[in-house]
Amino acid sequence: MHRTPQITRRQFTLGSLAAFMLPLAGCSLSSEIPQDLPTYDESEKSARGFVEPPFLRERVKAGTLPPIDERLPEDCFVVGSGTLLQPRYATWRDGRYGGTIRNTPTSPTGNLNLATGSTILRSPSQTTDQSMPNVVSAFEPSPDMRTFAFTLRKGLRWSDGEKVTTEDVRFLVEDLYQHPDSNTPFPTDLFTQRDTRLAPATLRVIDELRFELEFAAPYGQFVAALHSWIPTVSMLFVPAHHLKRYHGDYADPAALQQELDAAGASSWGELMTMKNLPSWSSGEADALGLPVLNAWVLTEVKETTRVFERNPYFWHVDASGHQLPYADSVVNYLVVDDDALLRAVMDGQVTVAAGDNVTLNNMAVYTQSGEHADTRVFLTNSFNFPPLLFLNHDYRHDAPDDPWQQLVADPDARFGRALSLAIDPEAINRSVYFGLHGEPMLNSAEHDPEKARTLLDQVGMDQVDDKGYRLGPDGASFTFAITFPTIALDFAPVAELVRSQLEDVGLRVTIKGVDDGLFGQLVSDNAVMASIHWNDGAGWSTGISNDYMPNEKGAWSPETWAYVQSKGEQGRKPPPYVQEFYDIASRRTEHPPASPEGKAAYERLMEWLTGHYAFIPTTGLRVKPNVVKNGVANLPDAGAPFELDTILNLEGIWFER
Amino acid sequence: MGPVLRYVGRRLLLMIPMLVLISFLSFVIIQLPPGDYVDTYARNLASEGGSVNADQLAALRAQYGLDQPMLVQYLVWMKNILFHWDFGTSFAYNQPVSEILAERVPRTMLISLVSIALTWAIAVPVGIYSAVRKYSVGDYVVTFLSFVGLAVPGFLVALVLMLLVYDHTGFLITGLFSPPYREAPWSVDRVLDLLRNVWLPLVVLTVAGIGGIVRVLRASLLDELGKQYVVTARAKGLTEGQVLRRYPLRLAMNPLLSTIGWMLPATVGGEIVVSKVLNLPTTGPVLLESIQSQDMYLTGAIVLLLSALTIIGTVISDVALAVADPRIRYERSRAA
Repeated sequence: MHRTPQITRRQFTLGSLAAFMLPLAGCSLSSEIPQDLPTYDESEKSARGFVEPPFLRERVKAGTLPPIDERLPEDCFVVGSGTLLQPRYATWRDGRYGGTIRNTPTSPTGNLNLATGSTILRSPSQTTDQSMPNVVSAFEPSPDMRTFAFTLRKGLRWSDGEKVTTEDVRFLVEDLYQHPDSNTPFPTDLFTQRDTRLAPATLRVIDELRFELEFAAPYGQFVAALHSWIPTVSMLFVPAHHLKRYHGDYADPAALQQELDAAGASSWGELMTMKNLPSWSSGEADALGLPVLNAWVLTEVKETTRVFERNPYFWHVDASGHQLPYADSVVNYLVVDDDALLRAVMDGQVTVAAGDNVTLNNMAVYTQSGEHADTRVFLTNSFNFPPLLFLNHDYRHDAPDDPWQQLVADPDARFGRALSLAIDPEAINRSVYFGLHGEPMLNSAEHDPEKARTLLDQVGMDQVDDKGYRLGPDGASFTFAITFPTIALDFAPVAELVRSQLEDVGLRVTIKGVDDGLFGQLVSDNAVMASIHWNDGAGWSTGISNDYMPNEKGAWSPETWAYVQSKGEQGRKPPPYVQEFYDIASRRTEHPPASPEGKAAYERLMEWLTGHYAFIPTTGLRVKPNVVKNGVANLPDAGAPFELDTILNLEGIWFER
Repeated sequence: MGPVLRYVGRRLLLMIPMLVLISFLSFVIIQLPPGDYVDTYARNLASEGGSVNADQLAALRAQYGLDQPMLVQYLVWMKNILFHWDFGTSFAYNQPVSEILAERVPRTMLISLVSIALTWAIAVPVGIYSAVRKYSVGDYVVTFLSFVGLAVPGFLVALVLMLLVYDHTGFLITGLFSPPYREAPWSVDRVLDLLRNVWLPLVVLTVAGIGGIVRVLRASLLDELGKQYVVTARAKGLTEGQVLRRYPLRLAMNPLLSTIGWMLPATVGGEIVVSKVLNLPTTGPVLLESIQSQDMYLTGAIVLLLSALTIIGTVISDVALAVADPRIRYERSRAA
């Protein structure tokens, strides 16, 4: 009898496993996604001299999108050399269409919020003095800096094709900010002098394209807010035609109820805050379908991906007739944490990694993986100050004879000065930052431990305990307690070095790193004596950032801030020397930061902050790496002043291959 | 089967008050640290350079319902779960919690179940070998390796393996799929890419589990093999294999069966640290993140889910034990 060949179950299993593995061994699956650059004829121009982006040509041909001449306003914003970044920091070359910018952020928008945040006025980099009208076509402040007149661009449209008019401003101010049920209060920048105790702006609409804002007192710093990518254009412009369907006064009740049910909101105010998203949240699922004034529009939301496509109505163009952005799309692939982000950068999956996505500590990794990842690294300075040692002037303010209060309230600020003399910024620079940070700056420029010891003796800390640590001015044991949030890799080593430097002059120091959430709570409870944190110091002089206020970042006086904000109901009444700060800060807001008065006011502000030792820089000006794929043009040069410009100006980058 | 069914029924009924208690406790504990999700949101915004004033914070709190007293928030949440099967919305993801879980739980369970199956498939034969060939060279090798597997943390194995692979092949595992296949439709290439990436978490999770099972099985099997009935069985002429399979192995499996119970929540909870290290989109990282940002509905729902699974899992393993070992069943019904 013929017997068919038998194989045992084991032979079958092993055999099929082997057969399965063979193709795995043989094939090479690439993990690079090639840039798919379209070919097109640059000389094919429209009547007005523009080149239609190949990405949109199909839709124009099919009639679903108007041709480029009709999409752009009468008067476009022309981007060229020196527009987005000063010529000495970047070389601008008009580019070509095509390509996808890839990011791997840890949150849906990541730092794309910077690139998708159009501003009302534009000045290169973080300056505010070479102002060009951006969303508006004309801007005129009154001489007393109380009234600001705006003219919109004729023909400017939202990303869905609807015209931008003053109705968008009126709806935002009257039907949202001023409406009691809208859950949308006035933003800080629209209050007179950024002071929430004073009156917010009053709106006067003149016609479809012109409007005026008036403030109760001179508020020259408003000019800086109009340039700032922090409040962005959403401060004054929202797509009224789109948002009215979520507004209780405008929407059809049945339709509104459907929207409420779909979103799970209990009031239209709640619904409005879910739908009216600023550019900070341009990657959130709710931003799908929201008309914007940004270079890219969110078009696809998946579990771990966000896809943005070019805005057909973006009004920035280059001198050769291209409509910006050059890159057709942006893809954000979400990763779980910074380590996964690092691996993505190492693998070449990120087109431009800058700002929060990179740290100097990983320089070795970026350089080493450069060849495999086809990337290069260049260094720029930073929008942020380096880690600073903050002193909380409100710590134990309720104990009248507390030694800490004695030390910080000293009119000669000897304790603060002693700390700054004891800190050795160059040693910290060498140990933690490869010596790449700048020269010692501000109030820690001088390093003299001997002088520090003399000053500590002078403030009454000349007695020591049995371990050799100085006793406090009250004769009891004194511990200088530094708390820091573990939000950056360099805080812990910097804290360690600061500790050893302060112990060198006889102080007993403890350091504690805590989770950022816990740090926030400790600050709210006024339980932090000193902390390590950074702030946007490099961006203060031009008014783009204002986080020198006492509750921000390291919080050098959170209780007096609470007092001021609550109009006296909570917190600590500012002692005269802190009240001086509030007065200087208010006075500063009266003038545009770029004006001579503004600059003088800024000098006074910095004098107060450094003279009273609100914070002490632990090292010189920060330097940050930027890791970018090869073949990308219009990036800043090495040594550019702000790493954030690398991302802010993504609309101008293009792919050479 | 009557008494077993009654037993199961009783246990499942007991589950309800336990779940209510657990849900309330977890809801309270999540909110114990001062502050809430809005604080986390404001801090994140501040660290990116943005800012919110007090009015905007108050508006956010009202929007999220965080200005209500805790008991009210809990009752509203419970009501939504019981009557609408609505577990609330995650503040951080801005999505209904049930959607987030529906995305992640099946995937997590698949990876966990495959790794558990692999672990058992390797560990049981190895454990048996180790017990039967006690003190042989093989036994010592296996013992050494299982102690190493027990001692070395999973995430360390993951990191080292990942970097070794990168060093030698230039291929870096950055998730379940490589970039070109992430959002692509299913195809043979995509499956192969998945295999290229998923072998690492499977290896890590398996290695972590093998050591424990091998040691437990070895010990309990050695225990059984020393007993008199084994001698009797051999004397009666059964082969070694039959002796091993029919009696001692079944008894030695008891301790392992009792661990099935807490395997159930572990498959859904997912290995948090390994998932974070390997950037896997499973429930582990979601749970960690939601706890850190006080995203209370998401955390509460996951804790509730894991508690329910723990209770169910314990019931299952008790029943499995009762079914596998008649002595337990007999003792129990005698006591009842």
